[in-house]
Amino acid sequence: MLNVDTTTHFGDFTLDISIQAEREILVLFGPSGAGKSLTLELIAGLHRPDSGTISFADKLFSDTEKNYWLNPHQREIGYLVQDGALFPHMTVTDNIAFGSKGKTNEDRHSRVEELLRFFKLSDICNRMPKSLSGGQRQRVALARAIAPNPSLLLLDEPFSALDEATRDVLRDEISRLQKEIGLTVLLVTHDLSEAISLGGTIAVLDEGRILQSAKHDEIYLRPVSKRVASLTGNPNVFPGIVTRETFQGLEVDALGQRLVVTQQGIAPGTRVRVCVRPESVFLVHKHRKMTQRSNNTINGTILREVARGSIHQLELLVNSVHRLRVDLPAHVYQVMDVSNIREWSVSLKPTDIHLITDDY
Amino acid sequence: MKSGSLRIPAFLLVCFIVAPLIGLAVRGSQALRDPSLLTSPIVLEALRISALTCSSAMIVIIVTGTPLAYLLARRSIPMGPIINTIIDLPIVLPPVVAGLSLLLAFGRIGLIGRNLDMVGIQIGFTTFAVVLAQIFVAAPLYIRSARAGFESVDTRLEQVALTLGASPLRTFMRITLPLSAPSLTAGLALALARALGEFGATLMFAGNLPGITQTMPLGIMTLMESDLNSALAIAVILLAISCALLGCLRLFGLKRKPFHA
Repeated sequence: MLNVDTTTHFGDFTLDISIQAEREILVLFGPSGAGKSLTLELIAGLHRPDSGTISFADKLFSDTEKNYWLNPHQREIGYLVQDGALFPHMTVTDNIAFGSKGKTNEDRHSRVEELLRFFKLSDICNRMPKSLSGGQRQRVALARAIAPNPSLLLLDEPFSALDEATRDVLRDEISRLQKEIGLTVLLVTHDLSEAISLGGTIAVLDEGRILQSAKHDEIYLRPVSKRVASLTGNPNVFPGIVTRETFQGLEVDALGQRLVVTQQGIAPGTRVRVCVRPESVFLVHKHRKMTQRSNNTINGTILREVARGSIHQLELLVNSVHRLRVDLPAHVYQVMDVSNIREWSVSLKPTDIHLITDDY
Repeated sequence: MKSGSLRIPAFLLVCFIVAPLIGLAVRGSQALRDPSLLTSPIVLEALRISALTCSSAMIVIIVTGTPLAYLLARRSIPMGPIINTIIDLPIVLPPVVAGLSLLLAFGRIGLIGRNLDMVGIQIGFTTFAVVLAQIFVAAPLYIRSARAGFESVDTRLEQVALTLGASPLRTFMRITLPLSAPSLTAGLALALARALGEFGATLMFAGNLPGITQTMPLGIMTLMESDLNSALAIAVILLAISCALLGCLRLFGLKRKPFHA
C-alpha cells in the first residue's frame, strides 16, 4: 500500500529510507535526530526527495526519475504534527472543519459533529486552542487530521505531550480507528514501550537509515545489530565465535566460556555477537547444582543495582571480565534475598540466546 | 541620583513636543471658525490630490509589497538578504535625494524616462509621479512590518493546512493572512502616514502644480505666504489623520504578539 524508497540530503544529514506498509499501524521507532519526523514530512510532501519514489495505493506521490511530484494538498493524507499545531485563530469546530470534506455544507457539518462526538469534544467545540489542555489539543489535532477521510495517517509523536491516562485512551482510539476504517497508519515515536504497545510492525530508524523492520517481538528478541539491541534497551551484546555445530544447535565461545545455543545454520569459525535480554537471564544460588544440563551456568558478582519499581536492574561481573545486566522482578528479588548476597550464578537458556552474524 | 534631576530634562522634552501641537490645535481651531476655508478651491484640490495619490500608492504597495514581504519572510527568493537591505534604504535616504534619483530614473532625461519619452509617455511632473514618489518612500515601511508579521506565523500551521487539502492560495488567505493581519495593518498605517507627509521627493520629482501634483504638504508650503489660515486648515486635517493613524498603530502595532498553537 504505502511504498517509500527514497534518498534525500538535508545538509550533512542523509535520509535513506525504504518502507512498506499495508493497512496496519507501522511504528517508526528511533532516537531523536534519527530522521523520523523528516520521513513523515517527505511522505506528506513538505520536502522533495533527491531520488527514488513514494506512492500510496494507486497514487504516485513522487518519482524523481519521471520528474513527477504531487503537491502536498493533493495527497489526501492525515498528518498530525508534534504538539498538534492547531490554528490559533479558529475555534475547535473551525479547526476540525478546515479540511473536512462533503458534497454539501450539511454533509460537512454532520461530519464535524460526528468527529466532535467521537473524540468527546462537543462540550468544548467553541473554545479557542489557547484555552485547551494538552490532551484536548491533541484530540482536536487528531480529529482535524482525519476530518478529510484520509486513508493514510501520519502521526508524529502523538502521545508525547500527554499524561499516562490520556495516552492510553488516545492510543486505543487510534487503534480502533485504524481497524474500523482500515487505515494505514505511520506513527513516529522515540518511546520503546509505546512502540510495542501499539502491537504492529516496528521499523527501527537510526541516523537516517532503517536498521530493522519487523514485528515487535522479533525486534525485541532477535535484533539484527548491536545498535538495534541497544536501542531496544538491551545492553547484553558480547563478541563470540562459533566453535561447533551439534544436533541441538551450536556451541559458541563467549563471555569467557562455552555456551550452548539452539540457533542453527552458522558455520563453525564464524564471528558472532551473542545477545541476551536482561529479563531472560536467570539468577541461581551459587551453591545449588543445576539439574538440567546445558543451561549455560556462569559465575558472577553483583557490581551495581538500581531499583526501578516493578523490576530491579542488576549489573553483574561474570567470569571476572564481562558486565551482564539482569532485570529481576521485584518480588523475585525479595524472595531470593538478593540484597544480602553478592555472589551468584546466572543461567542463560539456550533458546534465549540470539546470535547476530552480519554486524561487523 | 534624585528622581528630580531625571524628571526635569524629561519634562522639558515632553513640553517641547506638546507645545507646537497645542499651538497648531489652538490656532487651527481659531482659523476654522470660518468653515469656508475647508472648501476653498486650493484646499479642496490639495485634499483631492492627496487622497487620490495616497490611495493609489497604498493599493500598489499592498499588491506588490505583500508578495515580496512573504517571499522575504519565507527566504524563498535568491539574494533575499541583499534585497532586504536595499529595500530599507529609502527609509534612511533624505527625501530630496530620493526625489532626485527618481528624476534621474524616470525623468525625461532619465534612464527609463528617456525611452518612455520616445513613445510619448512622460512621468515627471504628473500626478503619477506623485504616486511613484510616495511608493518609493513608503513601501519599505509596509514591507518591513509585513515581513515581520509573516515571519511570526509558524510555518507548520501552513504545512498542516496544505496536508488538509487547502491549496497554497487558500492556506495563505485562511491561515497566514489572518495571523499576520495586525502586522500588515500596522505597516499600512505607517506607510500611509509617510506617504501623506511626503514633501521633498514629491517636490523634486513631481513639482508643485496646483490640481496636478500639489498635495496637502505642498499646499501648506504654497499657502504659507499668501493665506496662513488656509494653510492652517490643511495642517489641522493632517493632524487629525495622523492622530487616527497613531490610534491604529496603538491597536495593532504595539501590542503585537507572536502566534503559536
